[in-house]
Amino acid sequence: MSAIPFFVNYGILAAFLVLFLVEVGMAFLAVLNYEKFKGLIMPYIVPIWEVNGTFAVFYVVNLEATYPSLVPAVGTLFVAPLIFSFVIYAVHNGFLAYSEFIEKKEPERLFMVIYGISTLIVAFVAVSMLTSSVSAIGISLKTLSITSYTFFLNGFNIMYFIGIFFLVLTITFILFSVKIISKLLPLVFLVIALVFFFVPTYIYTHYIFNNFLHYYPVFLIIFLLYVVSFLLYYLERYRLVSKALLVLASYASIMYFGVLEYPYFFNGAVNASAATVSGPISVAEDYITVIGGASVVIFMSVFVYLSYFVKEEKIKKVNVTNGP
Amino acid sequence: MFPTEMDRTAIAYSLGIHILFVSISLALPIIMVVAEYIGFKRNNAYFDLLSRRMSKAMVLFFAIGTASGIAVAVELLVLWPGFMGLVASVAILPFYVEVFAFFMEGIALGIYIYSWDKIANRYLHMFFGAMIAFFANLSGVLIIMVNAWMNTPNGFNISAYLENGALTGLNPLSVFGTPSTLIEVMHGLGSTLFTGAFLILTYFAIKFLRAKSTELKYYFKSGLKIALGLVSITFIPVGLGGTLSMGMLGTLEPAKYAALDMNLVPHSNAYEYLFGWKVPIPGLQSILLTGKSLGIVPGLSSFPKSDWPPLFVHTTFDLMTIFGIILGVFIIVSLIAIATRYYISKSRNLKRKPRLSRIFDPVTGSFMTYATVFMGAIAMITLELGWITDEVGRQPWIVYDVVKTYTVSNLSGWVIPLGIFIMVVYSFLAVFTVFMFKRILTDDDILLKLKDYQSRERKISAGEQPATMAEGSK
Repeated sequence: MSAIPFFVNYGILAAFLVLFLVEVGMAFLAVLNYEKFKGLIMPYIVPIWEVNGTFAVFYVVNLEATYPSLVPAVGTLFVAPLIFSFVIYAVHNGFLAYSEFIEKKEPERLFMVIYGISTLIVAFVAVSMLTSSVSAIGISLKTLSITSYTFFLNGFNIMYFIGIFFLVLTITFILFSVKIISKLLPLVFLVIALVFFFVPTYIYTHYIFNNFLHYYPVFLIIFLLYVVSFLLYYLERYRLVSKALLVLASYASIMYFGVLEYPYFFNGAVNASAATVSGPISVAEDYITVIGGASVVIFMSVFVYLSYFVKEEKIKKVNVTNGP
Repeated sequence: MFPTEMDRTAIAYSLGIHILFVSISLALPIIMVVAEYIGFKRNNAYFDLLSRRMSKAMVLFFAIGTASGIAVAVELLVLWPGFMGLVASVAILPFYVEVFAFFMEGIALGIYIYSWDKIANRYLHMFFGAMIAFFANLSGVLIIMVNAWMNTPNGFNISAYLENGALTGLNPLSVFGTPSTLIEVMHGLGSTLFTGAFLILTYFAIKFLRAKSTELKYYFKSGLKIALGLVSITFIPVGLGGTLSMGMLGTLEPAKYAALDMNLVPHSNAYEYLFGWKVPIPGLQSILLTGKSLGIVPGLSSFPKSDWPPLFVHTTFDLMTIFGIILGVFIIVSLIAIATRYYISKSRNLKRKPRLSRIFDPVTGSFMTYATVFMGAIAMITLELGWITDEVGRQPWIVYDVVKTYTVSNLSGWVIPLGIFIMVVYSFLAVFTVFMFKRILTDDDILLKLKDYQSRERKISAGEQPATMAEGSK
């Protein structure tokens, strides 16, 4: 039974990460050339950012609720990167909101670049925290402290960050139909990303790699999803299906990593099953997750329906003569 | 400065700014929906535009409020890891429900903003606006529930926990109904909404005073009226909750009560010093707390000195009470003046309109409009004072009578530079947001939008299809 809370928590993390990777892609395009990519990213940036921030809180609270006994250790251990990244996240939110409403062109561009850079900084710190929770490199679980240099600049983290960067490029190029150099570029990016995931996993986290050898058929299915998504993209038919499949494949690949990592954190040092909450609080959380999740899905469906499938109505008559 | 002090300073600073953003985020959607309703019912462009512009401001405040809220959530985890460990085991459910409320608020806001001209039924559009207000305020209620639990903890076997640190007898649902929950929600949510509405009222008052054209004066007056209505309504739970809070503290948090009233020793026939310190009334404090003039009120000497809260909370409490009374008087005078003017405007046989009611009317009397601006600052200070009184008054406990603050703080050396970093970034964001708010909501923009309405009206009269408002309001 303890596998369910683990995967619920991982599922929330995966949803957050997929949305965040999409946002990082948009931020990257904004920094690269805001004027050029503005039209591609602006319709999606606000809805994604809005939900993304909430998923971040959802993940933190769910983590606390699922592993209450780990909370003091996690809080103490990650004090510096967590505070740093979330304060920068506040800056990122602020500048996105400012740019959304600023009328003048110059500050809007500047604000979007600040937004983009702050997003990339948050991404690097967040990836470092996640990879260290997998590899345990640069952290001491005994003293609950991190060694900054090793924490950020270790082979596992750097290679994973490069891998994630290429995954972000893959997602971004297909989701926003970015056409630079060659149509095959997203596929090349995906292959590079996979190399940068496999090598450090093999070198630093043997048990995860062994699990991969055990569950490789699942990987093949996910890879197939990516391939189908690419094919539909190249054929320029069913673009929407292609994008949906890409998002699904990305979500599935993060969940798959969860399967490989289960039931441990910190490279086998912490057993998640032993730290998982049980008893009445766990039951209450399950009910809240189901009811709350269903409500969110309903509201979200209305939002998506209204945003993308309904056209604007004719404006009703509004009388100014009722004024002063 | 030691890490524990920096933990306290950083979280106090972040929360101090966060509650101001939140107070506006709670009141704004209510004013926004009421304006939309009036605009729709009266077919009035000024209220319609007011609502649309408030929704713009709402996005800005939501963005900043969300970001600072996330930062506070993370600060709680990393600055008070031991405390959050206990909360995660016993009192996490309000936080957990709050996440969904937060989700719903964000999605409802998205629907509201992007569907102004997509939902044909305006009541349905207003419904989503009302949902923003509902879920925002629900979040407030849930967070206050956790604070109530910190003041009057329940839901686990406290004696067993104090004895050996074991968490037994868990009842996770009881956190929703601690002995202090109802009163704290009434007072806490009421005062947050009150302050938010007052700050918005102040904004309209300043703009009204500066407005040059009749159109602008009318536009800001429309906002002033709605904000004043909300201020007047929310003052009732603030006053009632505040009065009930003292009775509750006397029973459930006697050390805090004794510090707030500066009772050094427990005694009967206790004096109540009206207005803080000048007017003593014998026995009133005993009557208010126990119902009898000879009833005994708690005193600090009953507790070890190490368990006393810092005694400056007596001053913050007195100031909060005095400012609260001043705000109450201001609201009552305003309402009487409005009622009088309304009565006069209906009585056609009155030849001379009394000058006093004109002066005291906050909507049209310039004296009271100036006073409103001043009162806005008082309301903001009162909210901060109330929050300081509640939090510092509970010290040295983070969970009253169960966990002391210094035992669960993060003692890492990282805390000091990061604490400074938090405060610098927060200050920058706060100042910059006010600056941006000013730039985004310009008066020229209002006049332009009003012209949009006029041209649309002309087009409709001529049988042409006008551009949608969404295009116009970008």
